[in-house]
Amino acid sequence: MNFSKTYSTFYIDDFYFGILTTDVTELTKENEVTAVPLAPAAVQGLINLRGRIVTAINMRHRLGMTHTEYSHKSITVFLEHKGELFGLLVDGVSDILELDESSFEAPPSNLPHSAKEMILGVYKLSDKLLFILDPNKIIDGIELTHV
Amino acid sequence: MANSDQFLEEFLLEAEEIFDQLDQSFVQLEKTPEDKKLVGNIFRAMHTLKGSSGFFAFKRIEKVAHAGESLLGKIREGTRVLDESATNVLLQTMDRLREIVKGIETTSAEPQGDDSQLVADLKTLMDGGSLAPRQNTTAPAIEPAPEPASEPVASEAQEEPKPIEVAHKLEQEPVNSTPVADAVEQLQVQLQGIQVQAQAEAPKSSELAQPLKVNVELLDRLMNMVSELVLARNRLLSFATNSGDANFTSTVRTIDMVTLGLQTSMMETRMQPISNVWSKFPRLVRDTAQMCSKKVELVQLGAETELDRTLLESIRDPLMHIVRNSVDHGIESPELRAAKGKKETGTITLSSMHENGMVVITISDDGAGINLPLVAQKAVQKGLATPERVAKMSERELMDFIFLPGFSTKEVVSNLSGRGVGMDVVRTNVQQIGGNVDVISSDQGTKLRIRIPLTLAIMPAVFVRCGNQRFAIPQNNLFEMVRHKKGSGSLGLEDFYGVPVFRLRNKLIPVLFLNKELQIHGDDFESKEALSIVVVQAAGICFGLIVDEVLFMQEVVVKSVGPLLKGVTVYSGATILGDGHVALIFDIGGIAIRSGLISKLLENDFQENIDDGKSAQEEGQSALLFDLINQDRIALPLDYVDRLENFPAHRIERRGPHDVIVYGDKIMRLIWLSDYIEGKTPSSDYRVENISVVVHYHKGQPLGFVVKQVHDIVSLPNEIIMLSPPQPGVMGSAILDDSVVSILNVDDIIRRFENTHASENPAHMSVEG
Repeated sequence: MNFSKTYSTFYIDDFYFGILTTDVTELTKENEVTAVPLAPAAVQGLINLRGRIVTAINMRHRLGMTHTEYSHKSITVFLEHKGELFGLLVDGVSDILELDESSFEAPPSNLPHSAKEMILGVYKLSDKLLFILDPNKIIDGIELTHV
Repeated sequence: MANSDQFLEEFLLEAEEIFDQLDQSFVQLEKTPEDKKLVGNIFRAMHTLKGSSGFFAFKRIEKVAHAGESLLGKIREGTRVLDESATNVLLQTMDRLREIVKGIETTSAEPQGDDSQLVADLKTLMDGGSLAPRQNTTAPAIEPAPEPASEPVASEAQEEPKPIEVAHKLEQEPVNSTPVADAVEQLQVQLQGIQVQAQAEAPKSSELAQPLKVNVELLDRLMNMVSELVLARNRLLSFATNSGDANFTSTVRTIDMVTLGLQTSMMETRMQPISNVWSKFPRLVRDTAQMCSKKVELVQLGAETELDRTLLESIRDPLMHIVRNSVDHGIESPELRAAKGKKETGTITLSSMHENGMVVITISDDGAGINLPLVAQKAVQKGLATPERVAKMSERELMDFIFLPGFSTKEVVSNLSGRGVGMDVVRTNVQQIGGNVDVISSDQGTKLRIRIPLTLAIMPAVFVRCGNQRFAIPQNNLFEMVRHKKGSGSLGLEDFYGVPVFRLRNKLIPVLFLNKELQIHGDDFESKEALSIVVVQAAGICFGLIVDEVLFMQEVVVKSVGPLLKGVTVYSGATILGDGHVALIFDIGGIAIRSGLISKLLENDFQENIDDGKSAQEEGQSALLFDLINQDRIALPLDYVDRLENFPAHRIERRGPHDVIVYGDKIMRLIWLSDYIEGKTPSSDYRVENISVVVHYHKGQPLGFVVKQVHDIVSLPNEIIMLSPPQPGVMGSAILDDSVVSILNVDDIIRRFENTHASENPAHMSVEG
């Protein structure tokens, strides 16, 4: 009964996150993001991905971090949600890990509520924690706060 | 299972086509009851429907269609005439069938219902009997007033995709292989006949290649890919120009050509003739006319005019509403018409044509027209304006009231119209797709003109800068661009109850600062010499947007901004620029509403026209001021000015008695204004490199008035001094800024121009190739 799945992992600030590899369509770096005035704060702007217009999401804001600015070396993790493409802005990408879902633990209670909602579970690595994110919650959450 | 679903879908589509065809045939048949071919067509259509429903065991359809078919059979044989009661029952039959098919569409099964009365009626008629008169047996095809489209149409095909027909474009080669010896001669003959032959061949080729049904989704996907290809090509082009590699450049050029061809052909697949929408109107007019006991004839001109199918969808309801309005409100009862000396049968004319990259649809009737005094009275009653203000309003301004929600002049609310819902929705719908509506009315009838863009996927836009960002303003909203020199006061603006305004030719235009609206850091306006103001029109008001800089004009491919930004009403979409950057496209109406400008203006009874003291006197017709060869300061009423153009003189060609210039896809005849005012001028006087032309559309054709130099737009005083004796081509003079201007009599000039060249018919001129 070993249901292991592969997860793409990335860093935002000093935190380590993972997302199901099957949800990720591609990763690109140094995308030009066009800011959208009056947009919800979690929307960083729009990206041109080979002729498709993709909404870029400021993950720092989404996770309730105090610093929401990215360096110019940010990487975009693209994923599809309800037929639309979205780009998550992250600080750096790391390995693809094979993990067993049953070994996930509940997120620590000291996380901000908004961040905790998006976390499916926590995986304890030898030296750090890996937070597994639910892509649907990341995006739906924004729609909700906006309405 | 999937297979039978597919068959059912095909059946539903086929049924829909048959109904449309039947609708038209029936109405036509009523006019020409002897047309045996038409009866045959209807008979066959009914038969097809019966046959296909038998396959699905749709018993109700089969029974009703069978009874209808039997009656039609008698009519075809000539043993029974088609009178009004027969037509009514047959139309009723069709409505019933349509209703059943609708039911099948939603539930995939035949809805319950009792058709015995209808079948009995059909049988009675078939047996030569007649029906006891019943009130309004025909169920009129009343549909609710159009709802505003809930989403911008740019997001494409929201509804269930239906396959549309794409005709195979067979390139028939009219030149067959011929022996070389007489090839040249042959070729010459064929070249002469090529036009004729191509036309003659056209129907043949359609026989060869069956039109193909293609899923709309697939077409949309292809369209998207083509758009992407175009953008990729643009980037490639900029590489090629910098590379200096001849091979690479020529390859890119080939790709460029192919892409262009692909894009054009792809656009064509989206185009559909307007007749797709109009085909339902004869029946609509017939039913509505019968309901209100009127006699109305419907004339359709230019039904083959093509436009983007998504646009076609969104004008369907507005058009239907207008046509119904025309029958119900516009056309008078036969008695009243006779009393007025009009023909008893009223005429509604639908026409459509392409003009300057727009589709112009006019709906005109020869009815009573809009009762403007009544409109004014209602406006006062509803507290929309004061009696004093109404008295000062121009016809155009009064006409604007009918577009307000809840405004109706109809005394009695009928179940067709007069409920005051409608015209506002018509205008909203049309504006949403970047079009506009205007009305002309007199006691001889009403004429509504709808102008809409050919396609939504690509539109011209003006780019402006605000802060370090570029934004696009759709050209449809654009009125004019002004560089406003800062005079006295704060930035040269005035204040109207907290709304900054500026003066533009005797009008007060409210302004919005774009940077404030978008909450971004823009330029410091205090340190600038002049403000860049883009005057735009949307949501029924005209206002200025103060931007940091006006950049350039470009055609843009409109894309959706995505679901997370749908709630931000100031954008209608986004586009990708040639350099790969994304730029946002404004929804000007959204900006106006969000800013609260509209409510502020309404609250304080904002009046555009400045009517204090001196300017009230000056408030008259706007006119274009220009010079001719030997005469300065001539004014041409602005209503006649559609565009100003400059052409290099070498582009003037001689065609018969005219000097012409190719203008877009039309030929524009030039009128040398001096000839009509100063008498024949030696043409040597015109030997300049460029000519200034005032373009005026006359009966849909461009006419170019050649002038020496255009100066300005001025507001003419109301007082016009008539000349004695009258001077040809001049209406009179007026005093403007202490000197005299002559006001042109354009109608007189056009009449004289056409009389001199009455021998030919310019409407038939067209550009070939």
